[in-house]
Amino acid sequence: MKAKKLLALTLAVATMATSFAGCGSSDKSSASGNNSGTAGEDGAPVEISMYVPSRLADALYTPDTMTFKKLAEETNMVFDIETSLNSEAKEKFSVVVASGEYPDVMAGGLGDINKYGVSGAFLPLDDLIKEYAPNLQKYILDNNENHAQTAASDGQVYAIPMLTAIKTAMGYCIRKDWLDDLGMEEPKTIDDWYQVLKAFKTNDMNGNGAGDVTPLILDKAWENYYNNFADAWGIELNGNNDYWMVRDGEMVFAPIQPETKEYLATMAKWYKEGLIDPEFITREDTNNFHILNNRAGATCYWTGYVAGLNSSAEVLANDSDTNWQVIAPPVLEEGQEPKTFSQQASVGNAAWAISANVDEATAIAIIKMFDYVYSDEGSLLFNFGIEGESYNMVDGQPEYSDTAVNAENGLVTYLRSNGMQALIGMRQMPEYEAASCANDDVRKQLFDYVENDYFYPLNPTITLTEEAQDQYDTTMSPIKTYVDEELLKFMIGTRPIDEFDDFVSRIEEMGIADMAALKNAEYAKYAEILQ
Amino acid sequence: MLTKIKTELYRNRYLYIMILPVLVWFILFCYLPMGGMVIAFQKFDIVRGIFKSKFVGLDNFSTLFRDPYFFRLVKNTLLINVFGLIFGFPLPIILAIAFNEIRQKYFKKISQTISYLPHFISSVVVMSMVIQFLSPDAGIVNKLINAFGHESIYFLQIPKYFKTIFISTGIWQGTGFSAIIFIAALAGIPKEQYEAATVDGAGKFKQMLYITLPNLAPTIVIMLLINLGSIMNVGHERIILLYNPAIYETADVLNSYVYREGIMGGRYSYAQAVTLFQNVVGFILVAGANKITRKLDGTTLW
Repeated sequence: MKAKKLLALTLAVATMATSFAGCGSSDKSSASGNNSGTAGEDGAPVEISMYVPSRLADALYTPDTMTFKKLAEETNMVFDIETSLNSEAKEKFSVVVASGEYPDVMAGGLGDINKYGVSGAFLPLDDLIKEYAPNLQKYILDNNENHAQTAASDGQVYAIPMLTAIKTAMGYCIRKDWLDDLGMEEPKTIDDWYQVLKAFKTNDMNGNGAGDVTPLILDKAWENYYNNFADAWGIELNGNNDYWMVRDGEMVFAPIQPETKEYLATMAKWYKEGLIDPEFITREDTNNFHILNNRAGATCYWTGYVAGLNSSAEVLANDSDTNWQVIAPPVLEEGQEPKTFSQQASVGNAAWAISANVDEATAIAIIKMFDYVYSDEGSLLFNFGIEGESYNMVDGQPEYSDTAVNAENGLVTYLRSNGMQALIGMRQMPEYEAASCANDDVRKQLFDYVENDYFYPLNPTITLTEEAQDQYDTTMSPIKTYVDEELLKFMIGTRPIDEFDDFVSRIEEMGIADMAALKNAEYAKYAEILQ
Repeated sequence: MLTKIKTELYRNRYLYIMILPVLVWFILFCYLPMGGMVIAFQKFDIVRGIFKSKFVGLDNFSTLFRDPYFFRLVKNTLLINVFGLIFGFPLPIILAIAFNEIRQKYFKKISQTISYLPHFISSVVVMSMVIQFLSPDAGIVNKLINAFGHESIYFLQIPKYFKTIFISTGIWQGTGFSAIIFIAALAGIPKEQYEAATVDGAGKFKQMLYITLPNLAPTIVIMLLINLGSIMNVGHERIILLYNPAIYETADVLNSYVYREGIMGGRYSYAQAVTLFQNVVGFILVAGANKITRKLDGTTLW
């Protein structure tokens, strides 16, 4: 015990020492400016330093990585690339910025960049974009949704984000072959779902006796997104977004909406009857555990992933008829439009930005480089690589070459180790998503929700101004803890649903109205850009 | 005066040279970074750094004390530590004495090694094992309960079980290792005392009561004092690995709350304020207890 404390202490102390040392040097670097980047007016390449997180541990990016090498050539630059593994990137990002001596280009989370950008660590890009970057102008400033999601709390753009290709996120997936065995239709309403789940529970679906199958899988432990079925009531209970949602043009706190009570009552009933995994709160990797062992009837999970399991050897070994299919989100009554809140925002979390320490000429060179990455040519580079090497044009469409498709560890690993799909401000192409699907069925399922437009409007993550954030943190921390706790208690029945009104009034006592006011003040700005 | 110091330095120069690296280590890694504690009184901004962040006085502390969950967090922290001390503290002493009484040398070595092995297993592994063992579906504990004809119990979803599970895991993992210091103290007891006692006709039990325990007393007191210092601290890693929102009621402690709502949200100043609060309370307790023990039997930390 003591050794561990000592270790913890040493680590803590070391961390503090680092930040301490970093602070001392920050003045120095900002005073001397940055001398690594001098723009080449005479055609000499511009040298810049950049930090980009790598996707794979055994293929860390270097200036010789396929895409970055090509990018440097195309934009007449020389890159000095610093990197670390993606999983350590968030921490590394803060440490590097705090040190004061960070590279000219920093890739990191959009939220982090905006936060530090407002504090003065990164250049505001609006003017640079207007003057030098037509592609960035087109996809960010002129696209209201993207602009609103990219802008920081002061309304300026500090980061060029990754634009995602398809909205599909978690879908409602079900064992179609079992539905056929039972002679049942795809469930549409919540009542249909109840009948189907009940049938999965009471019939011997997998040959291990009735009751062996867990009818519905919800992932609390990994994704913390498990209230998918609230879709039917038009509510999004997303703890990762502090449970905020947009309703009638303003931000409301979803847990205190009357629909939440009905939703929770339904879930409590399903839980009590064993239709939901009784251990969903603590079970990690619950989807793989159940699906690979042939014990899941339905799940709310990443559509493409679940569809891909249809061809998993492990799954087929258990039941060669296994057929997971994504179906429309549930509704309350027949005839209502099925919609889900689970979706990828068009603006992804990965982004990159320009250090506030660079001189103007370098900043211009960098914004032009950012612009190139957003161009059609640049998009091809970061989605498909280099023509004739990693892809070929077939009938005007890019197709991955045999080298890429038959690469030793599979296509995705090949792409990631050669710097495609890097976590930077790039545009993901739908063709990439389609081309990386294992087969037509997976492709069809992945695009199903997009083609049918099964999506509610996105509930945006609204960042607050600095002062508002302070006030928000103080009041919201206990509220969030309370809601996290009570939602689960209602679902597993340790708190009766009759007490829902007490739950609501407790949240009101804790000051939710003030928090909604803070959120709405910022949401107004977001909505204005969105107009 | 100065010459006195000089002669002293010169006379024991080798000793001073030997301690120099340790001193440098302490200054570099313990005392200098303590300056960082100042962020508890600031609104720390990572870009502005320690020197330029705005001072906000005791704001971070008042945020903590006004938090609706403050009392629940302190209560859980204290209960886990107090029960941990009551049940966990005597065990290493008993274990050490028991080992000391084993005459069979190999058996002693082997069982001692086995007893402190759990200490070297990562908390992540231990907590996953606990979750597996307690699983209502396939866990060995519930299989036993089923075998006796009872329904499975969802241990990790029912608040009242958490402290017991958490503390007993800690005891299982730490007892053997904590016993080492007592075993070392036991080795230092002069054999003559036992021989004299045997001559005087004292049995094993009387020897333990009148020789072993009094000799161990200073070590026991010092260990107790050190433990008191961390009475407001429950390491957040082990809690976070084991808890879930459904049992926050008994499982959420200061460290886990601060980790969740402070560090994760980038509120470093607030997190530092909480740590400072915990350590000040710990320090007051240790200082107070130190005074008491000094009066009682003269054993002190300083």
